[in-house]
Formats: sequence, structure tokens, C-alpha cells
Amino acid sequence: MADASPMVIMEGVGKVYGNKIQTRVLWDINFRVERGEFAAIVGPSGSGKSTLLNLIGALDKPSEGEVRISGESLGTLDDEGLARLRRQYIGFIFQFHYLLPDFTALENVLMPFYVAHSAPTKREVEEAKELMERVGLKDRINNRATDLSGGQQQRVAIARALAGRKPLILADEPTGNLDTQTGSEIFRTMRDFNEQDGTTFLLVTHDPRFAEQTDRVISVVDGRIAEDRAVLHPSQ
Amino acid sequence: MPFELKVALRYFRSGGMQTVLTILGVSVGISVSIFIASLIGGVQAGLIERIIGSLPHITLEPRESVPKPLGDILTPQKSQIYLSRTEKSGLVEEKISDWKSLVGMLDREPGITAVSPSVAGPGFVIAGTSVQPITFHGIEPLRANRITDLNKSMREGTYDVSGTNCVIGVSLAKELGIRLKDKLRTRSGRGRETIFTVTGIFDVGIEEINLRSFYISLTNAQHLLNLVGYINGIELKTAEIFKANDIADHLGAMTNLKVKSWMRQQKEFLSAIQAQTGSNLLIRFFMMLAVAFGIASVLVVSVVQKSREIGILKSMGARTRSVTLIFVIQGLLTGLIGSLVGSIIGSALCWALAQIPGDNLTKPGSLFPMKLEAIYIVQSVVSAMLVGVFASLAPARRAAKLDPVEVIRYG
Ligand SMILES: Nc1ncnc2c1ncn2[C@@H]1O[C@H](COP(=O)(O)OP(=O)(O)OP(=O)(O)O)[C@@H](O)[C@H]1O
Ligand SMILES: [Mg+2]
Repeated sequence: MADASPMVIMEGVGKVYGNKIQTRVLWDINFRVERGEFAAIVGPSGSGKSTLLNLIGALDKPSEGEVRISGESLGTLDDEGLARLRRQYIGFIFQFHYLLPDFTALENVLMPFYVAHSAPTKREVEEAKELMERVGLKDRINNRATDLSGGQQQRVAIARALAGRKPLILADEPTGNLDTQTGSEIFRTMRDFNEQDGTTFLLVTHDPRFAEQTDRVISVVDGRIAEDRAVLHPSQ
Repeated sequence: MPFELKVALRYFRSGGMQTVLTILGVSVGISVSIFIASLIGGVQAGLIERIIGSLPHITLEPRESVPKPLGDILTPQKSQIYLSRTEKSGLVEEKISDWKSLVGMLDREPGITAVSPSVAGPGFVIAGTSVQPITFHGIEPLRANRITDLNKSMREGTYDVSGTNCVIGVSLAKELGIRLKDKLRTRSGRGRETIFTVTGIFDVGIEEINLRSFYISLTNAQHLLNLVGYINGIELKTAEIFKANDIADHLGAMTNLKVKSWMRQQKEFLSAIQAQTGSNLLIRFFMMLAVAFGIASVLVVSVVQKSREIGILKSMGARTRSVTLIFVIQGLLTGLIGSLVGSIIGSALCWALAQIPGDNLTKPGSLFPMKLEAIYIVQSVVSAMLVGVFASLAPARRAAKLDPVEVIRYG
């Protein structure tokens, strides 16, 4: 039943920051994301893309409207409930890699398991190693996170976001800090996971080249959805 | 390994110099605390040994007999004049009868380590023209030794009160110009006379005892003081000296004797000891407070340093409890390791200072009479761990409340 419901539903979602001086950042956002979609969120700086992504990721609470992840309404959950929901469904990839510097690459990928239930099982360690292999870092698993290049760190971050077979990956400008070549590789890696495993990706990007390689582009302008269109691929 | 412990340990290790310095700070605090406790404990033990060591902890005496009315001469209804006769005080001898079973009972009483029945009473030594007032102490030497070990205080001869032997103090010997083996004529307050042979001369360092106390066998004292079959005192030692009051009260309720505890007899000394204990605790309390502030301030810094990582962990769905625990464990570890290192430093310090020789007047001792007890170390380690946890609570709560959106946006 839960699996049949859409991955993300946004219904009349708005966001206002501040108490005394209120700044409205998002207005009446409505859309849904089906399972297995690979969608880009684009828009000018300050338009509210990160805010939107944080609301979907249950890191932030909407001022009005309803966010539903895999059928679960976030409004009904307390902080512990939201944390549980993140453990269960959501993997994050941030612009500045954000690996845990005191741990090795493999430990970083295992971290979601630790967070969920302490020591990971043998199968989970196998899964983490396999993910490291799929992002092309099989021989770097015992490197300290800080000893990896930016691109390598971002690959580890992708593996970490996917660990535990998270159905929804939210990536906020994952290539924003990388050179074009490395950025393309990272993009390709995510696309592969989407195509092979059916993982849903929501990807904030400034790069129109990447946006055009997704299935769908949601444009946010001044806190509203200005455009929501499917991308047609010539090969299809 | 639990997730929180794993992360805490890793942060602890990656803290490097910061971790080492915090642990050192805690160690210094703990070692001083152990050192102070040992020093005050040692000084106190020395004082107690000197003041209380040769005294009974509890004494049992017969109740002072209240003179009994012997009957009215005139009945008050018939006359305005009221006459009555009362027993003269001092006529009735104050004594403990059936004392052998009482001693047997006290021997079995828990918390009591020594029981010594005694007969004491006034008398005189008559030597030529001089008459010296003395106090006869009739004792059973084996039992009496466990209250006051006269053997340790013997200056000359041996501690032997068998037959008509007696043991006297140096001051009395000097006063009367007496040497070992001399014979002494004595008379009791009851007018009975006996001649004793001096077999030993002691010096307990207290003039009153050196001059007045005259030790003889229990049987001789009973004869001299007209108390055959009776005694008039029992002296006790307790295993724990500060339980003397409790045991005394218990014995007071069990017997109809007057029970005195050293704690009530030596009130000033007791309050001096208690003041020392109090200042010891106060110093250690403030030491712990300093340790707490040290741990807390380092953890506050650590929370700021790690806020980005805390945000990441939260975005992964880490529970509030887990984030709190990560920092509480760090506080606990700092307390634990710091106090273990501090215990080693403190113990070494105690040992080193105990090696410095000092003149303890009579016996050779060290300048610092350190008394290091395992309980100080256990107390220090446990309290440092508690303090570590306590100190970590505020920083941990701060970490738990961090908003991941903030740290990720501005991280
Ligand atoms: N905590 C906050 N308090 C007040 N205003 C905020 C807060 N967070 C974000 N904003 C404002 O909300 C607006 C949208 O911010 P957001 O980070 O979502 O934009 P963005 O589209 O991700 O921009 P960029 O492309 O630069 O990352 C901005 O004007 C920002 O200043
Ligand atoms: Mg943004």
C-alpha cells in the first residue's frame, strides 16, 4: 500500500521565515514525484530551491500545506518521527560533500546503518562495499574521508545517501563545487543508480546541461513553481 | 559497538591536543583531591591514634546511686512539720555484679573489639614520711592491653601484675625515688593495706597517668577496695571509632549501667576532627567543580567544532538521544580517563611525600603522614565520571538542539 503511493506529494506548501520580520520564501507549492523519477529543480539563486528540498527532506517544517513522503504526512510527525522517516526513506547529498572527516570512506557509507541501529550487519557491510565499488572507489574504502579528492568525496556521499536502499535521494547542487568533467561523472553515477535500481532522485542544479539530461525539470522562481515540464530525450 | 560510543571515541581521538589537555586538567584536579584526602586522612589518623588510641572508646560504669528515702517519721496529714530520713550518700558501694556474664555478652557483641573489666579506686602509697595519693587500677592484663597497650610504654622492667606485682608510672617512681624490684606499702580508701613489688615502670606521656595510675591485678584491687566478686568499670574498644555513640546508646538501653562514649567525653577533639573532615570535603568539592567547568568548556567548544557533522548525522535521521549521548559519553570518558591518570599521579605524589623523613618526636616517621586509601581513588573516579556526565549535559543539549538546516546552509 505504502509502496503504491507517490514518492513525494506537495499540497499547497508555503514557507515563511522569521517571527518578527517575516519573509515569505515559498508560495503554494503543488506537485508530486512518482517513484523512479529523476527530476531537476532549477531556478535563480535565492528562489527557494534549497528551502523546498529541505521541506521534502523533513529537515524543515512548512508554514502551511502538506508534505507527504511515501504516503506519510509529515505534519503528523514529531521530531523523532521525522528522524525515523529520514532514516527510512531519504538520502541527502550536499554541495560541500559533508562527509564525516573523522571516519574512513567505508565508515561514512556505513553511517546510516549505525544511525539506524548501531553496528551494521555483515550484509550491510557487503552492501556498503558494493556501493563503493559502484561509485568506483573500491580501493579507497579505508581512506580517511579527508584524504579523498572533492570528486571522490562526492562519490562517497552518493554511496552513503544510497546505503540502506533509500528510495528517495535529495541532492542540493551536488556538482556545484566540482569541475565540469568531475561534475559530469558524478551526474552519470547518480543517473546509473536511478536507471538500474529505480531510485528516485530530486536534484537541485544550476547547470542546464544536467537539467536537460533528467526526466523532468521543475523551475522555481521567486518562491513559486514557474514551470514543471517533462524532458524529452531524442533516443526515446 | 554502539553508534554513540563509536562516534564519541572517534571525536575523542581526533580531538588530539584538546583531548590530552582536558584529560590532564582533570588529572591534576583528581590528583590534588586524592593528595589532600590522603594528607588530611593521615594527619587525622595520627591525631586519633595519639588522642584516642590509648583510651577506651566506651566505658561502662555503675549508675550513681541516688540516696534512698528510708521512711517518713511523721505523716504529713497530722502535722505541719515534715521530717524524713534519707540514706547517706556514699554508703552504698557503686559496683557491677554478675560481671562475668556481662563481659561474655560484650565479647559477643558485634562492633566491639576489646572488653576489659576493671576495678578502680583511690588509695595511697606510703613511703617513709611521704604519702602519695594514687588510683588503683585492677586489671586483667591480656584484656587491658587491648584497650591501652602498656607494653609499648614500658620504660623499665616488664608489664607484670601477677601475684603482688605492680606497675607504676615514671612520675610516681621519681617522686618516691623508687626503682625496679622495690617494695611499696599501699593503703586503700577502705583502709586495707598491701605491699606490692614494682616490676615495671611506664611512661604514657600523660603526667596525670604517670603520677597517679597504679596497676595491679583485678583480684588484688577487689580485695583492697572491698569489692570481692564485683568490678566497677568495663572499658571497650569499637571497631569503628565514630560508631562509638551508636554502640554506647545501644548498650545503655541493654544494661542499667552508665555508658560513656569517647565522642561525648572528647567533644572538642571530635569537633576538631569533624572540622578537618569538613574542610577536606570542601576542598574536594571545589576541585570537582573546577573539573566540571573544565570538561564543560571543552565540550562547548567541541559542539561548535562538530556542529556541521552533527547536522549531517541529524539529516541521516540520528535520534536526539543519540546526539546527546555522543557528548555525554565524551564527558564520561574525560572524567574516567582523567581520574585514572589523576589517581596514578596522586598516588605517586603521596608515596613520594611519605618518603620525606621527619621527626615525629618519639618514633621515626615521615614529615607528611600520608594515608592513601583505596576508597579515595574509588570515590575520585566515580565522582569524576559523574561530574563528566553532569558537565556534558548542557553542551550535549546544545548539540541535540542544533538545527541541521542552519549548519548545512551556512556550514
Ligand atoms: N533561516 C532563514 N531565515 C530567513 N530567510 C531565509 C532563511 N533561510 C533562507 N532564507 C531566505 O530564503 C530565500 C530562499 O533561500 P534558498 O536557500 O532556498 O534559495 P536557493 O534557491 O537554494 O538559492 P541558491 O541557489 O543560492 O542556493 C532566500 O532569500 C534566503 O535568504
Ligand atoms: Mg540553495
